[in-house]
This record gives sequence, C-alpha cells and structure tokens, in this order.
Amino acid sequence: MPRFPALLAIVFALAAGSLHAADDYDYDLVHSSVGFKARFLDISWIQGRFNDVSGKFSLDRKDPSKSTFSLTIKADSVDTANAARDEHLRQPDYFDTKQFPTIEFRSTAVKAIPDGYEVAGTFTMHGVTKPVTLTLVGGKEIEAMGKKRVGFGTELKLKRSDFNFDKGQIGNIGDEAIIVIDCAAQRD
Amino acid sequence: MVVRAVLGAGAVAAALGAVGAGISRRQPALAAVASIVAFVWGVVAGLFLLRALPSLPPTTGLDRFLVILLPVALAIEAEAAANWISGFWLTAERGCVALLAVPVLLHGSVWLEGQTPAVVILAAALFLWASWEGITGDVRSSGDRVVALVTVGGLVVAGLSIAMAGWLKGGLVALPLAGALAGALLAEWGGGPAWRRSGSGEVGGTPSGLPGLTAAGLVALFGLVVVGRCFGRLGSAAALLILLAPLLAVLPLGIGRLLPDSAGQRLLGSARYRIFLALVPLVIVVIVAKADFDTRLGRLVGEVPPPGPVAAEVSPGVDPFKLSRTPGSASRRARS
Repeated sequence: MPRFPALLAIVFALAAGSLHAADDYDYDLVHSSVGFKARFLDISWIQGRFNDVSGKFSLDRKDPSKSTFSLTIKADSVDTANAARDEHLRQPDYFDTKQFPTIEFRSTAVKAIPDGYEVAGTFTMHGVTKPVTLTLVGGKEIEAMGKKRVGFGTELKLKRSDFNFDKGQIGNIGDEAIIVIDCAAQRD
Repeated sequence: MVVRAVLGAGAVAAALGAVGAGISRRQPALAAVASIVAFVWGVVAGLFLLRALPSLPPTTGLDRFLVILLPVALAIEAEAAANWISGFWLTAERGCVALLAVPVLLHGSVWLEGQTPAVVILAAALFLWASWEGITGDVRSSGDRVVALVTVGGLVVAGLSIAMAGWLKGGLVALPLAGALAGALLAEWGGGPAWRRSGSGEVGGTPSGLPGLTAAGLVALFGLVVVGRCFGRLGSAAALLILLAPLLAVLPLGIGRLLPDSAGQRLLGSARYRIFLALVPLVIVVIVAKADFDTRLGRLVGEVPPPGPVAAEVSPGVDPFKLSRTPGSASRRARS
C-alpha cells in the first residue's frame, strides 16, 4: 500500500516530463537556404549560397532555455553560379574545404524574445571558433504536407579576417561577409 | 612584393652562406651546416617579405610543411653535414620523416578520413625516401650541382602551377623557397671555403653544404607538390611531372655509368643534357597550367573592371542607359 503514492508520483513526474519534452526538428534542405554576400571592389555585392546544409533544432516551448540549435554547412557546397569561382573559393586562399570541410553553429544559450529566439552559440569556420549571438525570427509551428513545420530567419555579419582567412585575399572581395539563413525544419 | 621576397630570400641566403663559409673556412663541416642555416634564414626572410609567415600553431597543410616537415628535414641534413651521427641512423631518420611526411601534411583534413588509401601514402613515403636518400648520397659522392639547380626550377614551376590553378598564397610561397635555395647554392659554389676552391672543386667525400641543400630542395619540392595537389588544384599529372624532374636530372648519370664507352658516358653525364631533360616535364607543366588558367580563372580575373566610380550620364540624343566612367578611370584601366 505505501508503494502506491510513490508509483503515482513517478507516473505524474514522467507525464509532466513528457509534457515539457522538447520538439525535435530536422533541417528541411528543400525549403531552406544559407546564403552569403560580400562586397566586390566596394562597388557591389557578390552573392552565393551553400547547397549542402544539415541541422537539428530542439524547441522547448515551455522552457526555451532548454532549446538547442545546431547547423552544419558543407563548405565544399559553395555555389556562386560560376564554376571557376566556386573552385577558387574552395581552395586555401578562401574556405580551404579539404582542411576545414564544415562550417558549424552550435547553440549554448537560448532565450525567447517577442518574435522568436535569441540564440547565443559558437560559430566555427576555417578552423576558428568564435562566440556569436543570432536573433532567430520565427518559430511558429504549423502542420502542412503531413509534417509539423517551423521556420526561422536570421543574418550574421562577420569579418573573414577574424576567422583566419588569408589576408592577402581580402581586398577585391571585402573583409566583411553577411550570412543569411532562412531555414525551415520539420518533424513527424 | 613577390620579386622583393624572392630577391630578399636569395640575398639573405647568399650573404649568410658566404659569411658562414668565410668564418668556418678551416672547418668544412661547420661550413656545410652554415649553408643550411643560410637557406633557413633566406626562407624566413622571403616569407616575411611576402607576408606569408606560417601561423603558429600550424593549422593548414602549408603551415605544417613550413613549420614541421621542412625544418625537420633540414635538421637531419645539418646532422649529416656535421657528421654528428652515423649513416645508418641518418637513413633511419630520413625513412621516418618520409613515412610521416604525408600524414603530417594532410593531418586533420578530409584526405585522412578514409579517402586516401594507405598504399598511396606508403608509395609517396617510399618515393620521398628513395629520392632523398639516393640523390643526396649521389651528390655527396659526386658533388653534382645539377639536381639542386633543377629543384630550384621545380620549385618555381610548382609555385607558378599552384598559383595559376587558383591558390595564390600556396604558389607564391614556393618562390622565396626557390630564391633562398638559389642564394645558398650560389654562396656554397662561389663563396665556398678555400679548401674547396683550391681543390678539385668537387665534394669527393669532404663535408659540404651541397648534399644538404639538394635534400632541402627535394623535400621542399615534395611537400609543396603534396599540399598543392591535396589542398589546391594542382593536377596529379602535373604533380608527378614536377617530382619527376629531379629524377630525370640524375637518371642519365646512372645509365651513363652502365655504358662501357666514355663517349656515351660524357653525353649522358653532360650537365646541359641533363638540365634539358629535366626541363622538358617542367615546361610542359607550365604550358598546361597557363592554358588552364586562361580558360578558367583568367576569364574570372580578366573581367574585373577597374575600381573607378561609375556615374550615369543622361543627355539628349544619347542612349540614356549608357554608363560612362568618371575622368581618370580610362587612364587607370590603361595602366592596369
């Protein structure tokens, strides 16, 4: 008899735990894009994108601080609509994709803001890891095409020189680059 | 900047080599070590002038080549020049470095994540060890300078090919290496100690910096070609042809020694003939690299407009969408 309340407590605890469980989403490559742009001769923008991206988002809507975001970009998949330039960008003067095959973001702290989430984390590119804070706009879940979907958008400004890119190649293409992330994620 | 770096590397190496040889004129072993030290400082000076000093700790293949592979090879050659250790241990040390060279250069890259079969790494190690040990041993006994000169040419060609394939820094780094090697060789040849100038002019078993410099050139060429092939866009055929050049400079000597008649030996041993033979693959590599550059990156670079501000000019009777450059931009374009 004295075992019953304890058992009940465990059941309630498990139920409460399941209610607070985070929703795990996979990055939806088809409906997402990770683009970038940098100044060309300081007269215009040169734009490109990464075609091979993966990621996982774990959203805890009750306790957003328990949410996590991770994104992995294959640097080799750089695409600026010019094959010769893409080959050039893959070489060590730029991304050095054989040495540093991935560009990664890993969240370390998440807090809810009115339009989405403010996510602090680490951004690793070209073998250098720096702390960054992203403002993810979005996060509303909808159900469409048989899956539950959520989307976010954000921009990240960074300097290539901070990530140990070859300083000799900073000139015609500006030091500052803007990474534009528009991503959708889905779960069953 | 590139010319300054090459000349600077050569001048520093030549000056230090000559000073070292002068100071140690009665100690050939010390003079031999001095010529290797002169090469090292020539490379450092050249990379400094080129603003291409490697980062510490080394993070890229090029860094590991400049910070680990080349210094270790030079340390071994300094040991050899100074007669500090026996031939057996020298061979063993060279073998170990050859075996570890490719894994060190490719450390942390995608190439060591199952993409490169072990047999390729072993073959590369065997190639480096055999050419390093064999050619250096031959130079030590014969005092032959042709291979060292060919490695200078090989470094220049490797650098140009890597740069034209799109990795500018990787290619440019080769040029101070070639400059420093040429400078150190010049000092070793012209400013050498009295014992050699008054003698036959050949090494003949006497300690000399020549074998060490030749080895430095061979290891530098190997390292540069490996990083150029694996991290840049240097093609496999170009890489093999560049590495083949020093062997082609030695091969006729070996064949000549097998020939019974002295005329054949003289022809095959002729420096001009051997240099010509070694230059053939190098010239082919440069021609192909230039053609590839013209069809790929050349177009990309050639289409770069001059960085002059552009203003829209709208006036009666003129196409309103015509763009005209501000004064001075045409002359800037002409100059560029």
